[in-house]
Amino acid sequence: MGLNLLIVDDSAMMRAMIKRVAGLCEIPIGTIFEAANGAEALKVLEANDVQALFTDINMPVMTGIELLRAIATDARWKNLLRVIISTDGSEARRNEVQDLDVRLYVEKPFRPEVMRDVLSTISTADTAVH
Amino acid sequence: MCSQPSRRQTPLFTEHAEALQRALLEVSQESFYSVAEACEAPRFDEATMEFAAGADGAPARWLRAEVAFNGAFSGRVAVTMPYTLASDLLANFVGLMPDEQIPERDVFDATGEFANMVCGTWLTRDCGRRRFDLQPPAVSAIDARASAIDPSADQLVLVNEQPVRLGLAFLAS
Repeated sequence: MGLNLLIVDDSAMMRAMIKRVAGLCEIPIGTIFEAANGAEALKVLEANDVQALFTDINMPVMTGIELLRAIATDARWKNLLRVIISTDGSEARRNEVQDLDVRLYVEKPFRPEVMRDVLSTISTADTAVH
Repeated sequence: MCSQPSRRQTPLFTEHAEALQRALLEVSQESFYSVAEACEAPRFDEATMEFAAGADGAPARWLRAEVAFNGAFSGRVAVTMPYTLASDLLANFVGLMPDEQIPERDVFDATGEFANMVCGTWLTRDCGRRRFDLQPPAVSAIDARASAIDPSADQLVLVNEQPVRLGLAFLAS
């Protein structure tokens, strides 16, 4: 059975790109869900079985940080793999997410190959990589 | 590099202009597979003329994306480009086939995300130790000749031989 992914970004273009790369990867992918902000993402998580979350940080309605904080307080999602994809790679921001169980932090801009490697990593590795 | 806030709250445009332009070049090349270069006004004006009208002679559509940022200092970054370039960037980024139809809303979205990446990359590279919050991009269609947020300060860039204006304005604190 493949990994079910949830891509959270207010840019439809970014979601489309990640989705496309995921489709081209040689790893088994199940359903790819999408959400345009943290609030929509929580609804998707409530209703579906998701193994990996890719989230932007700066989004309207509910930011990625707020989403990750909400997830961290709920035991149902303790095994959810969390990946941040953001233009904000500042030290301050990285420090802010340190306690939110983020597996990978991917800075935009990135090439599609980077996303392929990330998918490969989360599908196989069990060690925390920051 | 970032000024220390204790010295001066509102930075000077000239302190950041070069870094902002570097961010645009990096984003263009890394994520959008596009060739970007700074250019002088005469060449830029020539390129602007070329993309000022559509095939039917009517004024061509240009798009402007503005991203407001708040943190150690605040302001906004504006990126202005022909619609045709925004469409090309989207196709490159997502990997669309040449004959794929691209909805207008997706072209607006791509322009906004491009500006978001430029702003975020600039702040991360230039002020990486400090935290900034970026607002969602605001994208609008404009006339090519009304594209500058500050004509004297806009930086002129060619991306895939098409003109792009890069503006930066700080809010006084």
